[in-house]
Amino acid sequence: MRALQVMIYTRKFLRTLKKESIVSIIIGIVITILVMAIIGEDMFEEYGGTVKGFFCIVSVCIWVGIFNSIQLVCREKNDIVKDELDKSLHASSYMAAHFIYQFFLSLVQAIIIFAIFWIFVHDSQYISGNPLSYMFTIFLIIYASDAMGFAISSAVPTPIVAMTVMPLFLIVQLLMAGVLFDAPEALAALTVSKWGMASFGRIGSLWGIIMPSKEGEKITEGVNEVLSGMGMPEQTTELTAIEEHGMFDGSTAVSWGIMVLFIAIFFAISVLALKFTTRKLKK
Amino acid sequence: MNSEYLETRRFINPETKACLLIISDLNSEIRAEQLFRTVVIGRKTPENEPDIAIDSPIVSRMHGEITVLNGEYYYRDLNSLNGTYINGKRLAKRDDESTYGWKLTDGDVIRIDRKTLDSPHKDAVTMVFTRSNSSVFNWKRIKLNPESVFPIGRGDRNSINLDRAHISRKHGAIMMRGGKCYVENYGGKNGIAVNNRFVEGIVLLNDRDVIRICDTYMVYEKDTVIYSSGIATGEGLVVDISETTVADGLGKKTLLKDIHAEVNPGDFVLIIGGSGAGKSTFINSVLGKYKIVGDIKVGGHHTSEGSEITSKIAYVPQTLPLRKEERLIDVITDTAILRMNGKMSHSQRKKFIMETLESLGLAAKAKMEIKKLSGGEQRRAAIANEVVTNPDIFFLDEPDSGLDPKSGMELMNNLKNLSGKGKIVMLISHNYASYPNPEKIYTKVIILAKSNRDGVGRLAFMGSVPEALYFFGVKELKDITKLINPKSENGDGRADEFVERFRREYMK
Repeated sequence: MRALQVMIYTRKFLRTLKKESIVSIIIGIVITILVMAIIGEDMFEEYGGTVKGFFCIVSVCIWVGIFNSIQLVCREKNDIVKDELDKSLHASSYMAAHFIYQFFLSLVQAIIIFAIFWIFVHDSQYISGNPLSYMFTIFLIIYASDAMGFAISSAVPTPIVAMTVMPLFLIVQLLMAGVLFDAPEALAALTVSKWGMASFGRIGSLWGIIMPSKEGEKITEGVNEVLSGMGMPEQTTELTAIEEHGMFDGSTAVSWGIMVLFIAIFFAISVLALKFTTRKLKK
Repeated sequence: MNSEYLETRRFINPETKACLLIISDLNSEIRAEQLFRTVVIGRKTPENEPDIAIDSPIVSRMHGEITVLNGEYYYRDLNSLNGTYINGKRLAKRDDESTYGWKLTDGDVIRIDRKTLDSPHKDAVTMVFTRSNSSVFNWKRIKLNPESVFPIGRGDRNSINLDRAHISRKHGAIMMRGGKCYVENYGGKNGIAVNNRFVEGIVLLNDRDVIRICDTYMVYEKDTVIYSSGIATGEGLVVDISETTVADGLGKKTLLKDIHAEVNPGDFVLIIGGSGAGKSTFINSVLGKYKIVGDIKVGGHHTSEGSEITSKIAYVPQTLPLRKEERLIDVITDTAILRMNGKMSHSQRKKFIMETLESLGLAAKAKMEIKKLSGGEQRRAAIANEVVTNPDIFFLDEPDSGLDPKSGMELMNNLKNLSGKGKIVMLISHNYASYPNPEKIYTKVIILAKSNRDGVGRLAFMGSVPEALYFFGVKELKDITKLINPKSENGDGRADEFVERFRREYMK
């Protein structure tokens, strides 16, 4: 029965969310082009610009992901979903259908954002890493943020509340990325942004490939704090290339794994929050 | 919820005690007049307005009277010009004023006609006294072709398919032979009666003869038979709420008390009451959303038995639970697949969906998005979305809210048709005063009133619309709310008086 519900609701969302998904994709394209036009020039050309570039990409992905889902549940849960849950719908089926639909939407968005990103950086001097790894990371950041949006949307009563609390979550994500300042380790570990940055850093071998800074200084000068904040090994010498970077090195896989774990946790939170906020009146 | 040790009071529903089916001709709608008090039957004139008015020149202005005595019903002719025939025999005159009373039994056929009953007067009137609720509903017509046989029984193979447990698969037949019509009893265990007399073998039918098989009635005339295909049998809905409470801080707050009601398949029930009287609470209590002390039964089963029972209850909330970007047909199909999964084949489901949309006047709008439908159509779409799950009971919370009177009336007609198919339809409405002849729309009215003493909602009345007007001594339903509303809300503050009177007179 649950499988049938998931199938029917996935089809339902495909019908009803198509138009706004297209809008969401277009907005994602516009923002990515804007961001890349501004920061793309320095990416993989000098160290600071590359870090900032990754940070901007992570921010765009989080923003796109949260916006995909932040209103989807709360706008219909009081009138429609509550009624459907009262009848025969399982909250887990409903959320699973949403997650399936958003999986494909996030994938499409990831491909497009990656394509724009790659157009801007593919011929940079210090470009490194497997393009598919970048795309997969972009996808995981979008999808994990999307899942976080569902968790918020399921917990709040109305779209107005959702849009009010959303900046709070966005700011936390951006602050904890470890780029703007050295964020507390324990808190940073709970954010999608931190693991997104770590993943990008690993794939892009930020610690292993020597890039000049804008001021003509070497990469190691003053950047170890940033590397540490991103969960990456500190640079020990100016010219040491660390061999362990690569598409499937352990640390990248850990970052990805943690983002997958986030998706699973946000799914569970979404289901529980939906059940709790739409529970029957019986007391 | 523990019903095992609960002391309950049985609600005696006077409305379903008896009913008079009035057949003026086979092409007109069959009237069903509820009998709950003494009524005079006669012809309506500018000077004379009988309780049951019949538009026929051969009916006297004060033709007859049905009296209720200790739950029994008696008919007497009031010295009418053309007299009254019961089951084919004329009531003998007693004196200049009336005949003796005839104690009516279920299925008695009352005719106002000329002496030659086998050749009825063109304005003759046939009335059937019945205690069966189901016989009132869902009349069908069959054209009798010459030299043909029309089997009667349970199942699709019969021309007259009476899908009822107490009717045999091959119960009997109506036959046209040599320009005459006959009915044959095949020996079904519940038999066949003509003009309320059981028949054996083959019997010749005359125009306006009434054939009865249990609670199904058929009327023959020339080459046509009309029959009540009835409604699904079942015990309907039994509500027995001693108390409905909600948490209130550390304690609890009582919202409803002493609601005892029985609603039968085919009933169309209007729930009214002042603000805070507990109308929505009543619905939520039945739906299991509020904790109750008491018991709710559907078709003889406790709702606490599980989802199979509660799934028989459909609820259409005031705010429509529809995604407005979806097409109507997609919404309905999804619901049918999800909630009727395994209960019908693909083709059956498709047919059922189209029948449902047609019955609600939405077939032409099937491919339109919900948001492009009018307000009334959206309401009907929400109802269709429940009808396709084939529940037995429908609760609707202000389905006519925001609709103009015409659209509201159309919706009421749709719901009436739904109840005519044997469903229980119960609705809260604040617009009921906009619809003419509520007694013809609703079979019952539930009136809830907030007590002046403790602010708790209680049952102030349940019965037919005419009876409600009689009980409260008012001419229109809207006058009742004024009587029971608190004085602080510009009412008369008589809620407790009517609650107590209803409890005393109607419950035991």
